[in-house]
Amino acid sequence: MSDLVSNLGLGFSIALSLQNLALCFLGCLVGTLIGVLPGVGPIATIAMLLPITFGLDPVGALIMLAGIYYGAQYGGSTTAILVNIPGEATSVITTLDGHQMARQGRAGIALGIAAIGSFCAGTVATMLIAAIGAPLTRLALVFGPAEYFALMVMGLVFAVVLARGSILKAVAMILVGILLATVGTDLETGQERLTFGFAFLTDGIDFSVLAMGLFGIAEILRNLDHTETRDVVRQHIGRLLPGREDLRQAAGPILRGTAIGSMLGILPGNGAVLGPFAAYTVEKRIARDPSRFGRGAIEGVAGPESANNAGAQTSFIPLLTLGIPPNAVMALMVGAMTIHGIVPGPGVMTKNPNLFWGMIASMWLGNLMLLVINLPLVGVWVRLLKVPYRLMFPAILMFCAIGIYSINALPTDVMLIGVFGLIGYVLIKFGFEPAPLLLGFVLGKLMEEYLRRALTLSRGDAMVFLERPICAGLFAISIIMLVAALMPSLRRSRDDVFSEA
Amino acid sequence: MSELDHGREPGRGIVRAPQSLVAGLGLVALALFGLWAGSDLPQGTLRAMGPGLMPRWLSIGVGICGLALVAVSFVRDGEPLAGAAWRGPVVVTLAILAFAVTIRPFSLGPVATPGLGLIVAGPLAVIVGGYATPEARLRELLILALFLTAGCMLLFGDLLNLPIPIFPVALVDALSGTLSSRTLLRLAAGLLCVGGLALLVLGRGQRREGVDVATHSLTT
Amino acid sequence: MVDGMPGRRALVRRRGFLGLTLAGACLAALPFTAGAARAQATFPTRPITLIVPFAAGGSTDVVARLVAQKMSESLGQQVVVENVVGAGGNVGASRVAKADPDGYAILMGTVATHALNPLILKRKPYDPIADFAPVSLLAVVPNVLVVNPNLSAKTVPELIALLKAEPGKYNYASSGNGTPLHLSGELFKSMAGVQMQHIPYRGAGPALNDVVAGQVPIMFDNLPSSSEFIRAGTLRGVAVTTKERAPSFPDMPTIAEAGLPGYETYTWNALFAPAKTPRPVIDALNAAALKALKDPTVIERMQAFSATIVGSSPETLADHVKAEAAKWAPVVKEAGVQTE
Repeated sequence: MSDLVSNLGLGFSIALSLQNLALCFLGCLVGTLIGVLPGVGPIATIAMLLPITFGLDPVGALIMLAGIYYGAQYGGSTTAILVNIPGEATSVITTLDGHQMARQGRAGIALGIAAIGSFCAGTVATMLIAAIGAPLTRLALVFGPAEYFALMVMGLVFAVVLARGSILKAVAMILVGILLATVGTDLETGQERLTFGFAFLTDGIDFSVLAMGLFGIAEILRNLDHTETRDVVRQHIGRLLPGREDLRQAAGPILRGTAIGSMLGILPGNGAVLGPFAAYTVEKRIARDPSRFGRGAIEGVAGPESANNAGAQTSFIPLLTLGIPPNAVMALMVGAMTIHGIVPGPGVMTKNPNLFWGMIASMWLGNLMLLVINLPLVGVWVRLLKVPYRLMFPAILMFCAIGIYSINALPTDVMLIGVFGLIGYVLIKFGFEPAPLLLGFVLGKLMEEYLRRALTLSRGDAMVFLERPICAGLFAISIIMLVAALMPSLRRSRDDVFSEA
Repeated sequence: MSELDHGREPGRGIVRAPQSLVAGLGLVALALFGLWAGSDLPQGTLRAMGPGLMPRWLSIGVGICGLALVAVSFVRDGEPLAGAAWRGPVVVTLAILAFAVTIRPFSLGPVATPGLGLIVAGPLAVIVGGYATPEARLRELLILALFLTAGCMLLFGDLLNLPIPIFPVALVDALSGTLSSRTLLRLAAGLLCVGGLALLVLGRGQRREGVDVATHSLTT
Repeated sequence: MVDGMPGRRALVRRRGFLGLTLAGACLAALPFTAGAARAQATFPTRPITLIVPFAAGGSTDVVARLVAQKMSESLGQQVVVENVVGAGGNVGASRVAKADPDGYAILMGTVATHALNPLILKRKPYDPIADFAPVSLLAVVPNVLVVNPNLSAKTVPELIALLKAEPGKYNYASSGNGTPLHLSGELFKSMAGVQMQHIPYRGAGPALNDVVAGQVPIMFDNLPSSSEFIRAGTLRGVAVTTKERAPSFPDMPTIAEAGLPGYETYTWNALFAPAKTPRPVIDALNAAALKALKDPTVIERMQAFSATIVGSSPETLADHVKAEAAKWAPVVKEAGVQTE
């Protein structure tokens, strides 16, 4: 324990230097900005800002880059709540209840709860990294391909559970999502699949392109249909910040979300992406009235947002203690370290204690700054909803186009958001929800990869999934959840399910 | 989408949930398409799964869901088909297309477009896209386009340094070496703002709302 | 619309004025320089784009960014690194192959873009020799054969014996299908006459995780990405793949000296311009690159990174590309990794 205190002391002495504070603030600010802009993600921005950090010392550089990362995670939820566009896979869930809250004139409360939840989650996650980060990485090492496959299957079960309307349609959407994920060059054989010879499909469909089309553009098209609903969004604003009752309601979900997000974030196989889905499922399962979910339940924002931020923080654990980047942004951090002459790996913690503890301390400070930056901004964002829609949507359109273009510099990506926008519009017209599709897409890619790897390693023996205890346990949980989710809805409201089907 | 072609299926007679019927048929069509598209891919074995295995089984799964939806549509009452508007989808798609082909040189077969950069593509997308709603007003859209483009140029080009072409390729070539790209960018952004302001001032008497909008949008 | 006009006119006027200044500057420079030297002296009049065909943060990207920064200083114009990712490096390489041959778009080529991909792909997006003008071979990065520390084999002969005792039982990981690392493994298999199953990953990170955890016992990796794991003891470095030992790991034998004479693979990074780029421009780029490689911080960072600095002439690079293609052709054929 005294070690922890002295280590954190060292960390804060570094993070509190004037330069590092300024860099942390700058990182959070830029992160929030790019997070709020639909389409512009942290990957493109960090890649572009990398050379600027050359002149800084490595600790300062990484503090700033980390700030951009969690700032962007955070800003992404603002867009999800206000205009129903998830910038990252992890904010898909926030669109479900967050945007509904905005439609009911409670945008400020949703944004406020997201900010407060994220701060609490960030604080707990930072403590967690500092206290037990290193021993926890052992958990990462017992997760092999079979376990990850089981985890992804569990994620798909979450997707079924969180479906709002017909379960049949949700399952169909999940399958279509996984099918879309198989487009592109096959990882194992290098063969092109379902690309129809189009060069721009050889690397598969980009998540942002799909999300921007299905959510962003399709939402615009849908709003253009209904003059009434979109006016609701901007007429009553309601109170700006959450009141005592809201906070009381959100406290439990924030704690549970933090715990779930922290655990999943530790897994180097990009487990953090599951955090918000898992948190949402848990909240919906334990809620007294699950039917409120998807209709603007505050728990549906508080839980996933906390899980999201906790996961963003703890995903630094595999990077800092194992040297293994769990996602593309972390891979960029590896590059940043390498450029600064720090070779990432298990030695970073002992060889560069300044860097390790300095970054951890700065994460907590960064979370505090995010709260300070964002709470006052809530008013500005909410007022943005007052802009007449006939002017708002061309602006969203332009930001989406620029954002998507900036990712790969491909005009075809911009065209694809148009295509997916039309598809999304048709889906809405036929009562399909885009969220399960997107979830299937995100998890499908990983799922197939892990499945094939696990089966190659076991030489085609499917028993591998039952022989490994963690893997079998995860499957058991999935089955229980699925049954629990389907049974009551089948029994209690069978008519509901099928009439909507 | 092919689903729309089925829009004139029998009405409220035997079919009790037309929306589900058409949705189900659409899924079946998608499944058949997936099976066809993946038919040339090797399936492999469990030990070494081929690239075609997942797409095939997923397509089959989608098809089963589709058939189930079709079956349900004859048994349970459900929603009627929703009407679709044409103006929005068509105009928004046009706007996106306009942006995509003008932002940088793009060639499709014999047709090639010159790269015009954000300074042209941006306003084009805003103005064309704006007409997706019948409430569009040209002057308002012009002001919005000018301010937004200037803001985006500064934000993406100057501040975030993203590699987005800002100016037409021809212009950049002509000016190469004489003016740093950053100065040019700021100058142009300034000019756009001046243009926007002038438009604002000109129409001040008529509508006040435009003022609000432009400044707010800039802060995004 | 009316108000847009004055602005536009001003811009046009400005352009004329600027054109004049440019012409003036050229005229002024003329008496002092002549012929080739003039092109060289005036070559970078605007920023140069260095296209890296792989993701930011990878080893190629790191080398590119280190060199680009120093080249900017000596050329007096910014050398901007742009990551054009896709199709195993082919998208970025094709873009430079089709770019104007003026030296303003150059490529950070690698063994993948200029030796392996053209061999692997049946449908070739570019010709690695005819479509490019070589500038300089910058650096060579050794590969390394690492194993999980719990594997009983500690040396190359022991590993070969283990693999021969139970053919087909063991797996080896690499950062992807058709990568130099995968083919290093295939070359090892064919030269040693052993069997092991290839497990491709999406990049070195996830592969390292599974090797450290023991899910997969053996891996071929870039030395830079494995080095800290070897130092920390979470991976055992068995041998490096280069002809000579790596300066950063002088105690680790090479595969060639440990039992497979003639085995040599490595990853390399080289600058290429589009074919038909004028010689003076190539020379200017080559000089700037060589100067960057002599910079103490670049040397220090590259060493920490276990990369060996080369800094060749354009001619040496041209020969190198041909030699590499000849070396890998039989390996690619034997591994059966050809795709559409």
